[in-house]
Amino acid sequence: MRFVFLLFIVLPGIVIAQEPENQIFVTRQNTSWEEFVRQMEQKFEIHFFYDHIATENVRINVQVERILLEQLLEQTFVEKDVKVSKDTDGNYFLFPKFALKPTVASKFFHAPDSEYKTRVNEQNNNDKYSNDTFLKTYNEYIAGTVVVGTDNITKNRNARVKGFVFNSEDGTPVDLARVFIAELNEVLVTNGSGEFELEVAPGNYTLTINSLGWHEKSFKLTVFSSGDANFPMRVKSILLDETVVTAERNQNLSTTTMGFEKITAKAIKEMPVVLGEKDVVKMALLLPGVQTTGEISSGFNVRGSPSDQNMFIINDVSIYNSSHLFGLFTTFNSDAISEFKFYKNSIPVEYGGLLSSVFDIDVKTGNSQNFSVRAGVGPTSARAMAEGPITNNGSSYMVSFRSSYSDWMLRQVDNLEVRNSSASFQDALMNFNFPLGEKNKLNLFLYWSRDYADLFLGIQNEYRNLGASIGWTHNFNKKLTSELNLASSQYTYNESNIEVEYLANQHSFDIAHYEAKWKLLYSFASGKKLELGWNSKFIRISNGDFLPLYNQSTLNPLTFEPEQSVSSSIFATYRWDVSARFSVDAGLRATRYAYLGPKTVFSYMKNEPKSIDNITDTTFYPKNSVINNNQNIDCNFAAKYELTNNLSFKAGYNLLHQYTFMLSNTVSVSPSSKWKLSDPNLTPMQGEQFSAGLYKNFANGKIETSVEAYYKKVKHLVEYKDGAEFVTNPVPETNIIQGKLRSYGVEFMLKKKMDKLSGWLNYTWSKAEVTAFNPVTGEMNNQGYSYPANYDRPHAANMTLNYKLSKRLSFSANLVYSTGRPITYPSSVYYLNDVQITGFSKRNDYRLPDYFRTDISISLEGNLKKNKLAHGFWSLSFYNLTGRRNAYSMVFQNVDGEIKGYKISILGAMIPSLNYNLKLGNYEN
Amino acid sequence: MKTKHVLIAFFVIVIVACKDEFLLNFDTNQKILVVEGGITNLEGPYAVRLSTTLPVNQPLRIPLENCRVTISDNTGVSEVLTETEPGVYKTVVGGIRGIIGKEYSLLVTTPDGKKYETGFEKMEESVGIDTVYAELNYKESLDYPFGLPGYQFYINTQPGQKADNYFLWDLTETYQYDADYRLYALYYYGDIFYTKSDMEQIEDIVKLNYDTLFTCWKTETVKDIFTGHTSNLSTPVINRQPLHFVSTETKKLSVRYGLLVQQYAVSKKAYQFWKSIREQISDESFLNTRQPYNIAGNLENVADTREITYGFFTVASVAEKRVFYNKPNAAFYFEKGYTAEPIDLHKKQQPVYLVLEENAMYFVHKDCVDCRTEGGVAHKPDFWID
Repeated sequence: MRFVFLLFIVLPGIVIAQEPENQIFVTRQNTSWEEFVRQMEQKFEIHFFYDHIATENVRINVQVERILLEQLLEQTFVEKDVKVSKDTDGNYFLFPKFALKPTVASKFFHAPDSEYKTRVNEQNNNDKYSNDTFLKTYNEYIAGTVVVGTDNITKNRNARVKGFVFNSEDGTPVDLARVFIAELNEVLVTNGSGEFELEVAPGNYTLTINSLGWHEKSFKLTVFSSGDANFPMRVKSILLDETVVTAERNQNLSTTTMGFEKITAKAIKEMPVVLGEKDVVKMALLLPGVQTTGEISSGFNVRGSPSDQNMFIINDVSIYNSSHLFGLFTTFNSDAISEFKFYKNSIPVEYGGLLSSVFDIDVKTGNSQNFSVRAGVGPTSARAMAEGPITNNGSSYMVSFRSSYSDWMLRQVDNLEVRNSSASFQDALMNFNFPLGEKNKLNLFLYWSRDYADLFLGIQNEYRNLGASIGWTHNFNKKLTSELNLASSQYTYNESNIEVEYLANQHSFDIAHYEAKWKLLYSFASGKKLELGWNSKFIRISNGDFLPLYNQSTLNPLTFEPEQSVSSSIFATYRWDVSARFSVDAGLRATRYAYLGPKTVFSYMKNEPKSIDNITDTTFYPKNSVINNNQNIDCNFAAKYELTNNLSFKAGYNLLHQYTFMLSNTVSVSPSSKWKLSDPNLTPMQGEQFSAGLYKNFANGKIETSVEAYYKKVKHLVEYKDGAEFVTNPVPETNIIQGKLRSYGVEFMLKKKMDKLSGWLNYTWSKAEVTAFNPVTGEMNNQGYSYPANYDRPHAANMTLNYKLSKRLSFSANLVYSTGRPITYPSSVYYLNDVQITGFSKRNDYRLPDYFRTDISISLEGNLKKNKLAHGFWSLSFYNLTGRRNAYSMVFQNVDGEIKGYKISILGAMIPSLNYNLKLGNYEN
Repeated sequence: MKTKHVLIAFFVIVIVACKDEFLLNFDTNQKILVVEGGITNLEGPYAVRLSTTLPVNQPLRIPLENCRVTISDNTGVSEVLTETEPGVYKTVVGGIRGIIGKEYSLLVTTPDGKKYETGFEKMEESVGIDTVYAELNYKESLDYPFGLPGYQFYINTQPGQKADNYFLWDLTETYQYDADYRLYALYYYGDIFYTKSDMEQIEDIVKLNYDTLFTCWKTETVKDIFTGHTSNLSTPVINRQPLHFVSTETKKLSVRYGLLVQQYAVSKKAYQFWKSIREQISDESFLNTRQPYNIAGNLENVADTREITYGFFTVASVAEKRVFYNKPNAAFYFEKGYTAEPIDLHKKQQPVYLVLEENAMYFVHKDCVDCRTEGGVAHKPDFWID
């Protein structure tokens, strides 16, 4: 830090006893200069600074009665060309040729240097952090110094500064802005062109500019000479968001099913409206055993499993990415949902293929009587749904569309990268139903979703889901039903990147999934039920091409071989009520998985790490040839014993296999994560779950309680080696370690069913631990030690409540608590080429602070008249009511050679949202 | 690369994101061996620096002394390095010399008897530098509505002799700059000395050579890591690889700027190491959703392969190029000295520096007239070309 110190001379505690107006008079005398100085300094509180040579042999000769000191000095020294000057502290300066300026020259009022600037920012920042590339919140922000004029000429004349206040986004002028200049205590107002004029002495000024609807901003202004100055301002706006609804209803005692929830359309209508769009998936996050890594994660984690172990199907169409905008929204309109089933245990064998959970969503069948429309408008997106009869034979359609218009929000963020980015999403659903006579029903379903993002650094990406299914149900008689479903779905991801010209590229991948399922259901007179079925899946993953983009790119185009597999299964479920109190469910599923050509497969040296150097053989398999086969049996056993009329005990065992994996090296799941099929080098994952639970109802079933405990083991878990890269890697198996996952927990649930007050309260204690160590090949992560999974949150509690004050007015709230997720800390520092590098602790050895959030919402329905054209309702919600800054992640930064930790909070403020929804008809329909 | 994009993507949807300092509670007992240095095809002596990691709150190097450090090649030639200063081990002048095509390894025995070694690594064929050049860019920034000007440096390599070349670029910058003001006179216990006439006295008082006060040269390493490779390119040439950006927020570009680029042709393994390091340091500035991990170096404990070490003993062939650029025709935003707390002249803080501006003299602090206080040296470096 550097200083220009000037003549601010401090004389400690001195009050100068002088003539009025500090005038000093000298009386008649004739003394030497030195003697004169000595006397004067003794007599008065003044001080002389002078040049010895210039004052040599000078005598002070006063011949008049009295003379002003300044006058005397000037007279005495005029001949010698010694210039006399004086400051306000009683210092006199006598130097040859040039006067020493008693006042401070404009030039020395330089703007603070960068270090000082940083300090100023720090003082003004709440978070004591200043790096403008980050998102941050300022209480008051002193912007960078605005410099006017040039500093090579110093004129002590006043300078004319012409200021221009404008919108930082588009450069349009801000008129009638109030400009306050602190140093002059003066206020100016900008004219219609956003301009103001200022005439000041050169120097440093602090300008604070404010105007209604704009963020107040302060500027340091350094004026050297006349000139122009620009003052960018930002529009002030309030960020809004929308919200979710849910509920469920359950025959919790009499079925053998455990770890199951069902949420119906009716319940969706009745239950809390909190955060964003009505979102059944977000509601599922409030159930015990369901976790995420944070607010913006594209996946969720069920009972300690990674997110690629969840099956997400909507009318039999598999969805590979169910998230819009990285997890803030779900890729379908909840208005169009009729029922949502969620299994985290005892997964019925008709599903199969993914280890951890099933989200099975049924889309509404259109109204076959009347045409109806419902629509909703929120701050970031709008949705509409229409339904009605096709012909008058009972056939119907339902169409829903949703689109975002959220870019305006990005413009408000105080970060260039965000501001210059854009993101949008759309989705659509169509469901057609055709009853074909008494016994047949045909259903046709189409699904589409799209996300697009254009990012500041020259990266664009887009991803789509596309799906279709046909279902044919045939009732042979009252006891026997057949269901046949054909479904196809496709997930496509495209990215182009022009960050570095010679590496500019575009790449893509897509997954095509075709599936057929046929089920026969037979109900015996005794109440026993038998279900038989066949299920076949063909999955093809094209890893696309990695292509140079534009002429400047010198990249080699890379082409990756697609891979494909067929898995065929037969399954059977038998339900037997042994006695009135004891029931057993058994399901078996036999699967033959075949990995098919055309494909080049590499063989690796046994007992050595899989790496390119260890490839021993390369085999090309022609089209449709079976490369390898896996035969596995999945099973599901569940039993229930009703101890009393309102107390049941249940136990279950579930064994499953999984043949597709997601490749990702990030903590949270992102849409760019590729998928991979099990192949000769990757063993299918195997998951086992043991569970047991007690269920008790009170108050005639209005209150349900349960305790469930589970223990889960996953073998051949696919973990990615540290620093793994998948985009341009033709041999992903070299970046994979197959490890183990172990998770266990206890879930407590208390549920109050529909009434004035409804909702639930739950608490989960759980643990999820991963080991990625192959002792034979020596491949390992985390030096071979076990580590908590990224989403491991030992304690979690959720409460959701809805209170209906009247038919028209309801109030609801969510309370969410969980232990912070585990993170890896920096634990040491070292240097390479003078760059400071961080060494880390064991993986996930530390934790983020606990997560806690409160949401509330109020819904006001329109009038309840039966005969009316349209019914509207308002919902006002507050997400994160307390504005708690829950940590999403932690970043570590080097501040002056010391590593500091910062927690990043997403949605770390209260977010209000007002939505208006409208539908044709009255409240009920 | 990928992950970073995802990270940025995350920003896009962050509607309300905040960043708060969080007190860290570290386990600071970890002591991990760190190796720096290597061998090149340029003439020695070569240096290897050994240290141990430090607690994050006191980041200084802790040198690892009294080790036996040996560099050997695959033909049986080896040299034991001498510890010239704590933790720094050097080969002797005229000792072992890196030869392209040969393989080299490092062996370290610590005072407590632990043995560490790197595998043999080949010294790759060197690849020449075609050009290093700068372009005037305006970086978007909220603080500078019209952009922050500066030079963005780029490098073009010559074609490599093989298809897959892996590079590490080391940058050293040297810049000429001036003090904020030119000294006019010195006030010293009642005498005033002028630079025009009283040079001898001034030099006597301030023990300096006046001529060199105003203009200095400062050399610094660019504290960043740059990597690249040609294995995925259609021809083994890199064009327009971005290097660093030098803004006008500092004095670096204020007079003349020189950049020395050392291009190391390294093995794929070394490249991957440095690329990971680069990703890690650039990740730190974003939402850290990439799984952080320890980037293991190439020095392995012979007895325990699970022990982690940091750093890389780099075997490389080198090409160099130095370029110079005059100040850009753009606005400068660095700031000069500023007014400080008043100083008590009566305490005789002598000498006092005076500058002349517009026929008036002013007292200034030494920092404003002596460029060396900003870290530079007063004599022009030998390599400097005006």
